Amino acid sequence: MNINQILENIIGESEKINSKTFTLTRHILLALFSYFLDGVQFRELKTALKVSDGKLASNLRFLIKNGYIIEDEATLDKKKIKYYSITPEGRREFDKILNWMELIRSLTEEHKNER
Amino acid sequence: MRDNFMKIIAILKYLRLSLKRPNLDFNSRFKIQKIVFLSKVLGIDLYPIFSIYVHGPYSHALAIDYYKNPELVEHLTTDFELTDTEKSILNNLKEKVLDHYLAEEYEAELLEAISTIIYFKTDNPSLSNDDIFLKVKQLKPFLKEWMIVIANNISKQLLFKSEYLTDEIKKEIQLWDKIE
Repeated sequence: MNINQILENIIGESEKINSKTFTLTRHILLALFSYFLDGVQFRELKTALKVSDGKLASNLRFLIKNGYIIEDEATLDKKKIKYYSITPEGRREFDKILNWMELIRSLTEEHKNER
Repeated sequence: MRDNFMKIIAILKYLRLSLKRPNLDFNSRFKIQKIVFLSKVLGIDLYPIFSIYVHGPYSHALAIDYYKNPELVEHLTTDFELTDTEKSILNNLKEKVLDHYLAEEYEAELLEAISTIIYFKTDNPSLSNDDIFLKVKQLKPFLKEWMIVIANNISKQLLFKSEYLTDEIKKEIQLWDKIE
């Protein structure tokens, strides 16, 4: 792919991404959910991301509302816990973001080659 | 499916774990991850590589395998034969962890605390008890403090090897026994 095609693709592919997903917290959440197939507990996310309950809950709500993750409940040692897992739709959205970032990386690689 | 996934099924079968289909049951997934981690770190040769942060000890490769073969886990279908050494490691794990009196009420928390502590201990054997306590508390603040202390003692028992018993230590133990 030449530099013009890469630039064209960066612009074109960006339009396919849900821009509201593209915040740091939501992006990290999708990355974690795509790795931890078992699902991740609310308390684990809160500790790892060092965010308030409110901020975490609102970001999770956004991802649930868009169909990217699902919320489930399990009982561990007789205590109810909430955990979250990625959906096929969430995986597709995350892949779109990764592919788009790969285009940006290839642009910087091209730039290096020019030097 | 990796070759020694059947060995993992054999481990779960030998320990007589009651598991549901892991693709449908969070508890079963949780238990498999922690027990396979402990089996590996105590000396059974297994393929999963475990991470510790966020939801660890956790192996992505192991998760892929039980999501692909949930019925094997549910019915513990395998004729894989474990060696006597491997069975002895599992007997030790069963005696010190699964049959521990706390496991009746707090099995998940006990497994989580012990596996997290052992991950840190094997990663850096020079960590003191205080270091371990702080690291576990930072990573998993929801674990009870008394649970971390008890789990640390159990971890020491699990990691203890008979070759640590030198003649010098044996003599000292005998002396202490005589005092009693």
